[in-house]
Amino acid sequence: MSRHYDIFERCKKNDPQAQRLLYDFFKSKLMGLCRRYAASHEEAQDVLQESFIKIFSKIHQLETSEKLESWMKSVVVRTAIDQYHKQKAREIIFDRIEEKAFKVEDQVSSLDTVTDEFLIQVVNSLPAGCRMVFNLFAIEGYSHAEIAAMLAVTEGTSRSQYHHAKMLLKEKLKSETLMEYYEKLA
Amino acid sequence: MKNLPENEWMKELEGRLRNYEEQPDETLWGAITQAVQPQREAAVWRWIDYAGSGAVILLAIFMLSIGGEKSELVLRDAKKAKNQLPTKNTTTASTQSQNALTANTIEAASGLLEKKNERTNSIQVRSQQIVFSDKKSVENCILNTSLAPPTSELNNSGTTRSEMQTIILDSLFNQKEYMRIDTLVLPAKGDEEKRTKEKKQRKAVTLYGHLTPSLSYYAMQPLANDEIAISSFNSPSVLSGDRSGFAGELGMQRKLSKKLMYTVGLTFYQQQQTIRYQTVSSSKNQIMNSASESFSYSIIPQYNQHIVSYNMTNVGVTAGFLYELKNAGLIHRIGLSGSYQQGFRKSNEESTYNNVTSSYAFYNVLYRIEYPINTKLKLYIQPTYSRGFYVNEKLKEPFSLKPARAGISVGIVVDF
Repeated sequence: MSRHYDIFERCKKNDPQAQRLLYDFFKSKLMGLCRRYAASHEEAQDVLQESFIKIFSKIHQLETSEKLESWMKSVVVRTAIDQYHKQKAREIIFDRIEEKAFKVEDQVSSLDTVTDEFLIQVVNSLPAGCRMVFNLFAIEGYSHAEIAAMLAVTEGTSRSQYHHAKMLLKEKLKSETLMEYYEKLA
Repeated sequence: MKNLPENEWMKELEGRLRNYEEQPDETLWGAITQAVQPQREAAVWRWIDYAGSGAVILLAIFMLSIGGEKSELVLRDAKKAKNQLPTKNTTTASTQSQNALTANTIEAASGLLEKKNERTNSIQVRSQQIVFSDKKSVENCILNTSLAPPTSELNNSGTTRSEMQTIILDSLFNQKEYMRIDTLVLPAKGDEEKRTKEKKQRKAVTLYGHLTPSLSYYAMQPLANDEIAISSFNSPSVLSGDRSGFAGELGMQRKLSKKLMYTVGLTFYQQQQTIRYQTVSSSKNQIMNSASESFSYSIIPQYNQHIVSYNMTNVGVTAGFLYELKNAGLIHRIGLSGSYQQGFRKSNEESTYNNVTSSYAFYNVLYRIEYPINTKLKLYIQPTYSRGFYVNEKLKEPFSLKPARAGISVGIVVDF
């Protein structure tokens, strides 16, 4: 804690060594967070880079180190949302994933048998809007009202996007063996 | 499908996604520090910008206030002197026959003075101002996603990016067809890069330095109440080597907008000049009695030659603005600046001019033509006219000087 506090205080004074320590300490967690929101590894790195720049420039606004991690995560999430808005403004066209092309029957029998990277890839393959809503609602725990405000959509849209995301994920993860496994459990 | 398994796989999915960690590329920290470092520097430069702009504004205020006060003082002194002159000169002429008398003949006689005056009316009294009004040369001398191509390219190669995505995903899925992104148009970063480049250019630090051979001129202001008549100044020709001086300047310039930039720098100026002038002697006038009339005298004025060693070494600060007029191969800028200089040359005791206790303020009008040698280096020439508007000079002579200089600077601009 004292080490954490020390790094935090030194970061507030723009100490480069402390910034490096903070980066090393949180880079994996935050990169994982970025990977969920971004469509690709490169895009996730862009978001992470932008996030750390914001973190280092605004860390002095944080009074105590207790909320440092949650604050850093919120910075990353907000950065990812900003990125989403920018992409939306530039009218990026994401064609819908051809759901029928998704086949996993050969190697996936349960979530235990798939890697985290695979799951990330599946989430990444969601349309941008769905991906954002899914992450914000299911993983971060925001309400649909909050999500609607953040993404500048209606609450109904947020709900439908989440539902759509869930359906897509289910389709993607659906295989006879996988579902059989859960149906047996039921 | 029943609810329970769905909830379970969703919970498991959420849990695993929530705890997912991944190492970013090693190069990312370098990119972050590169971005963070300029922010630190930007904070420093922001203060330098404030200080530079403040210096320019203060100097401008100083120029306006001092220039205004000085003008008023000069006007007041001139009026005062004008009012005093006739009485003074008449009195002086009738008693000691000394100041400001350029006439060669004065007829005077103790008992018949009034009658003689009425009859001959030959006393010619000239004010000291008249002496200088004849010196045209004196009057005439007054005179700066990171890989995405631009939109246009995307139109031609839009599928390249999607193909790349497909290849990456295929390789991740062991080349099996799990998913396919048909069309993916990434944001055009061309415009953003251009804006960032322009922003960087605006924020770039640029140093400049130049050397200026110059010619000095002076507006001479005689002291009205010292009862000394100056008959002539030695005025070298406009392009005489006697007027030569040498200046140097080293400073920093920063863009405030696309076309406007401010400059802040240190100046150095050196000159070695000699001023010669001639006064009418007050005590050695030759008085000759007219042979024809017993009460008639002729006074032949005697002149004294004076030499002033007007050597100065000044160091000071300068601040101003440069406005870009044209950028087509050669970059043309017009500028206005102010500078304050303090003398540093110690004079000997005999010298009437003490440079070390003298200080000057100038305004400078300049025109700069820059020639880009490469992206970092530019060469420029800069005709400059400088005019002193505030002179706090320790000069024990019957006149004060207001300097003006004209020169052509040759210098370089280096971008960092």
